[in-house]
Amino acid sequence: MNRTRARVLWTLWMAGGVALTAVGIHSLRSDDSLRTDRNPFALQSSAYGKLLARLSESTIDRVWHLGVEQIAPHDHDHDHHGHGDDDHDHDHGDHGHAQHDHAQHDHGEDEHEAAHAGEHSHAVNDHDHDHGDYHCEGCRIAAEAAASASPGRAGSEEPPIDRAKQWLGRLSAVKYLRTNPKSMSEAHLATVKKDIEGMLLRSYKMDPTHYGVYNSYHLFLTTHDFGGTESSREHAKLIARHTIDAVFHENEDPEPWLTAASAAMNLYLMETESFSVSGKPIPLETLKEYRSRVGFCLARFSELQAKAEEAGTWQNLSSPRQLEIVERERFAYRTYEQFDAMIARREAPGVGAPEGEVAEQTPSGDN
Amino acid sequence: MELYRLTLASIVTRKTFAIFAVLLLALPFVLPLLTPWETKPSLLEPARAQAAWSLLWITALGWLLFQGATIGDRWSSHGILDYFKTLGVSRRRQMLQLWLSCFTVFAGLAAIAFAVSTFTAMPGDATEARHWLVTNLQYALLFFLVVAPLLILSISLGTRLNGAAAYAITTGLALYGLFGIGYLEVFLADNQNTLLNLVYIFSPHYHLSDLNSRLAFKLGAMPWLDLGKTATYLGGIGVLILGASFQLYREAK
Repeated sequence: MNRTRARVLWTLWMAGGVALTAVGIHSLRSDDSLRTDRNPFALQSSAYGKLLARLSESTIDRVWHLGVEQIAPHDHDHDHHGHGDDDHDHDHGDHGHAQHDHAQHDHGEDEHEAAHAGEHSHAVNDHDHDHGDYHCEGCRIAAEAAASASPGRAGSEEPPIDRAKQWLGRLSAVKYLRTNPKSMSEAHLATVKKDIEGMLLRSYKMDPTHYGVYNSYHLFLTTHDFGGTESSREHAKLIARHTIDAVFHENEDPEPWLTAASAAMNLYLMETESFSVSGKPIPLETLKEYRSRVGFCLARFSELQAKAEEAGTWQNLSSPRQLEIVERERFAYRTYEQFDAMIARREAPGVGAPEGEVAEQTPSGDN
Repeated sequence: MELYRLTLASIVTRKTFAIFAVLLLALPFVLPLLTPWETKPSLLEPARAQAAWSLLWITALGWLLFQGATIGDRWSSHGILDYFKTLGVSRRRQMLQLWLSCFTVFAGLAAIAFAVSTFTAMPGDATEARHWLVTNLQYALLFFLVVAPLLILSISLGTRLNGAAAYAITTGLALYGLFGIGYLEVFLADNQNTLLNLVYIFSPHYHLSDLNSRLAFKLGAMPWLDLGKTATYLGGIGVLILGASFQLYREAK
């Protein structure tokens, strides 16, 4: 009797559980709440997401060197955190090739002058840190500090701890020393490039406002040599808009606004490439629209940077990090300034030269 | 309550909970400092709350379920449960006492995480602060609805299987509910297979109890109606797990 009673009770208990679950699942499904957000523990876009996005850079960088360039990564000093002064022996900028992006995009035959100007000015920036043209006091101080540090470091004896670290670095570099006389096959290379793109997507999800991650991912989506296709170029537009949206509510950290400026510039380049291919002039409204967009991002950067300096948070950054941001700002400004030249050219009566000539005629700042 | 006291004494003597207590106290303050907060100090507080709750999840999956599985295994293998049965302690009471002993220690760990998240990361604005407190309470409720039944399952499986198997099954179920379903969802996005869709529907959607997004991005408290729906669903799954655990429980191997 007791056993029967226990069974009945258990059956009722389970029926209650089924009923509760069914009611819950029905109401959750009806308003589509059952779907996962695919962001466990809110990692993506959180503070830890930003950290992981930064940490992923060195992994991606290593795969790039081993897989695409097929050279050992150890001789390179990329450095975003500023081992800086000795990184002039190679040209990768800091974030895995992000900063020569405009130079390598396959926009067809026609690079727009803004891109040309940006590329050119950035190339100069890489090797010439002391020209002035800073938009903030902190930026100037950072640049001067870095410049003044250079000669001292080169001439002085390195501390034993640094020499020991270098020795350990050389030991670990053996792992990546390439001894195979044959290079990788085309198919293998393509796979590596796709792997890198996958890594970049993961990093991008972690922090869509990160300058290096966004630009590197954009590069892979838009460059034919890295597996970019017409559909991935459409995806690149979506990514650029998503980045701008993600930055839009940023009211504290200035750096993401440089990413937004870069995304707006990339959008401009992608949306106007058809004009350059066909030789038609870019509509004046488009030029003005993007001047306004990029200008807004740069203005927000300057505003927040000034606020950060006033609040003392800007000083939390190391000098090399400040310098890195300064260089990006200078690069963005020089690119942005080309809009004025193009618009002035278009608005000047009786002048019909294509925009491409403007850059050549326009003095490029302090180069 | 002899079984409760015996089990609690065993857990306390082993002292492994102390490792997690120290981690729960220290890491929420250390980990945010590793993030790029320099030009955005407002990242620190949400990151602290996020770290506290994430570590509590790790503690639940890594320590609590393991304790349940090994105690169930050990006590049934050593004849302790059989002995208490002869003293007239029913299966229901045995399960309750074992569960309570594990949960007593864990409640202390959960209190640390709750306190760190609620009181050391509370927003300054009064409205936001109220939302923050309510969100933490809601999170605690949903967390309990997931973890408490899983603990009783690990104990019951431990009494029937060995500790390692019981732990692996229970943790696997929890991980599947928290993370695995997301992958199944992607797979089902362009797949109309009825069987797989049924698997999806009948899977335990434990990810619903992860309110980290609400804390990390300061989304505010969950609407009460939505909380009711989620709590009903998770509570229903808890009732089913409890029923299954009752059948799985064995006093002797």
